[in-house]
Amino acid sequence: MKSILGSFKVVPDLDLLSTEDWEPGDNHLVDTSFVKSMLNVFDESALEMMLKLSDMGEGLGTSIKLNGVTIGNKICDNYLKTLYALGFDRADRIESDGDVLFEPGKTTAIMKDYIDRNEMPDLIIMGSKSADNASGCVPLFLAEELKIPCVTSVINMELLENDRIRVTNLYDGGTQIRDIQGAFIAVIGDVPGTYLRVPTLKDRMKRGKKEIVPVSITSEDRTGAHTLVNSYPVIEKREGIIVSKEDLYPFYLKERMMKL
Amino acid sequence: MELQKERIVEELINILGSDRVITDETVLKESSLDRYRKFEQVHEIYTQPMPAAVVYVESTDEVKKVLMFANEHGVNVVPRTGQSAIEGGLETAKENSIVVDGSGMNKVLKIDKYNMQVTVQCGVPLQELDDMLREQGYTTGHSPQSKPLAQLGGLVATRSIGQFSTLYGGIEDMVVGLEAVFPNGEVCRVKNIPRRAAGPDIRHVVIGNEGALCYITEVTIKIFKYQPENNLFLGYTIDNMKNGFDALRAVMVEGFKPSIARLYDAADASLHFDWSGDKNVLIFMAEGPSGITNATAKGIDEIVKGFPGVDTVDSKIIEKWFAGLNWGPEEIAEEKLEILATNNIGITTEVSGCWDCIYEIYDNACKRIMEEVPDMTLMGGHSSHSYINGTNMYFVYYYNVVDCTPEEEINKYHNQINRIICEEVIKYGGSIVHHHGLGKARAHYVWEEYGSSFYILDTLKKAFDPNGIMNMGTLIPIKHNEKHPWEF
Repeated sequence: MKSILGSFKVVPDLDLLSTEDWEPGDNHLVDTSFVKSMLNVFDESALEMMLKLSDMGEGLGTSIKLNGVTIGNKICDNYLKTLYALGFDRADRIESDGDVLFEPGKTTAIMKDYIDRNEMPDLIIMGSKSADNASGCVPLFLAEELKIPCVTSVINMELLENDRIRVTNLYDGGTQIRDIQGAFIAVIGDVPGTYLRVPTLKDRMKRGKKEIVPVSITSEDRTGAHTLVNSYPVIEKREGIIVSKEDLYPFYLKERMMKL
Repeated sequence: MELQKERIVEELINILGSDRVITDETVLKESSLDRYRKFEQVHEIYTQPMPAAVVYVESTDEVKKVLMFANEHGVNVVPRTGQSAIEGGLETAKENSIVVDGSGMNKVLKIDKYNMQVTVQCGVPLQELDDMLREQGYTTGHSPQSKPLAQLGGLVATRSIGQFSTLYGGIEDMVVGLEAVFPNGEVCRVKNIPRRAAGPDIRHVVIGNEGALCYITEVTIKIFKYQPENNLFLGYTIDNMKNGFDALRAVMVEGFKPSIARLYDAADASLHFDWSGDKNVLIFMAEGPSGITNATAKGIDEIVKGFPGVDTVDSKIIEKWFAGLNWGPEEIAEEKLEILATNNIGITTEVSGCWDCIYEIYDNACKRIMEEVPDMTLMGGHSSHSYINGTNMYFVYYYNVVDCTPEEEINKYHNQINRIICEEVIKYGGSIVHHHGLGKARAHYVWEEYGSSFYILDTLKKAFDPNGIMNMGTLIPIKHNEKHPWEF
């Protein structure tokens, strides 16, 4: 395994909003501009999982490149510098000209474009959804775009020999454990008690001072990829028959009621 | 001869009844320490001597009986109310201590709106008291970060201070009268008066005694009119910490009394704000009648903008941020999970100094800690309580605990950081503790802190606690390693 790409989102810490602040503005959005940001919790678990995989790789004598990417503004730069301080090889911020909140399709398109411009990673790790949008769609859309498998609700991963990864995920009330080889997207679910480790000040001085130069990707580039040409209503019929009121009692209810 | 644990428990049951004498092992372990040993605490490691019992008292008479029993038999007593202590003041430094919990003494006895004072028992939670007063248009003006947890007895015993102290003062300015029980059973009441000159102010024997001299059972504190509609917030970034201290000083010297006057260095600011970048942050709040708040805000704004490298911050950001500053049980629970997951822990140490040395204390201490202590992940701080002649410095620091057991953490990191801070403070003539209390954590520096005036503290202790039963180890250490004073 050569490289892992972790995609993360910086979101407002909604716990800091008081009840009075939960009022939509003219744009129908709650103003969170004054709220301290945080790593989206599922993405934080994802990033820490990447570091654990890298630790395991060292144990197996394999050096894994860790790359991080986010779409956002300058507020994200401190988090990217933290990733550098933690030993990430690359930590990019994509500055998109379009507003991608509530637009999983656009987000997916941007991510696909970013991956196309760089080396395809052996593993992509993403949190299942974000605190402010929570569509949960981007990982699945991205997997479809990249034509690679996607494993959801991942709660643990273990690096094995021969570039295999043992993936534990929640499924149908239980857990599944599978060994996977080849590129895939791991969607990290609820893993309570996982937090991103903290780099020392010395690590920050040594590695965390790198200037963050945003990558520019225009979201319109991909809007022409799919064009709506026609639409039809979806007919959803129930499995049943229509009974007239004249037939209801003699043919359907009489016998049943006599048995009661 | 020391009493055996069973005999202690038996006598306590005779005094209080079995339902208020707790000997459950988990409760005893958790009651043997406080947040000073936070790393041990989150790992549920208990290295301190086990108490014999935790008892819940509900009246002054019960406190008296328990203290007299303990005094007669030489049993160490640890007074406790809200359990928000963070400097080891609640540690049971001797085997088979009795933890005397006053949180059941939780009645508000009298709200006197004409004389602007409220009388409460020691177990009244400050948050509840203030919420009740605010509904009636009043406030205590006391708002430490521990407000969701703290109770009045402990707040007075530790000489606490709140976030609005620049206007309202510390607890010592708020206490009007009190009642305290001494180890020999003497119940002393200090009456409620605005001021007197009838000898020394004996309230100050009790305020800040940290349970080492007596047990506070009742307190009367001032109340103030609550006028939040007039609050005005001001925020600035400033390039240079030295200029930041000078700006604070200028505000105080010119006679302004904002309720909040804070200076955050860039490191500490980064914990609170996304927009501060590598800048320091100045925050003020003006509170009171509208004429005063307007004039205060205008005056402060003119002063601060006279300093170089200052930019204004949207006041709405400051107002919203301030509303979420206090810590309650939820934040503590989340912190525990984070510490266990990351082995990264954050601690604070607060000191004070006059204007002419506070920057040197801050700068030297930060530099030394970053050079001498391993695995540091954040080192910074803020000033939050200013006076005409100086200010405090609240050091905030985080470190990874690496290659050591929970029991070893305190000597490898925490005590070393405290040692460096105290050394720098003493060198410049400041105080090693501004408002958290000496506890047991910084008690090992009590001689350097007091110098020749240690005689007064020592004599008070010998006079009021001759049998050595009141929270031993707090204020004055029981054992002191001259060669390695910071290893305990």
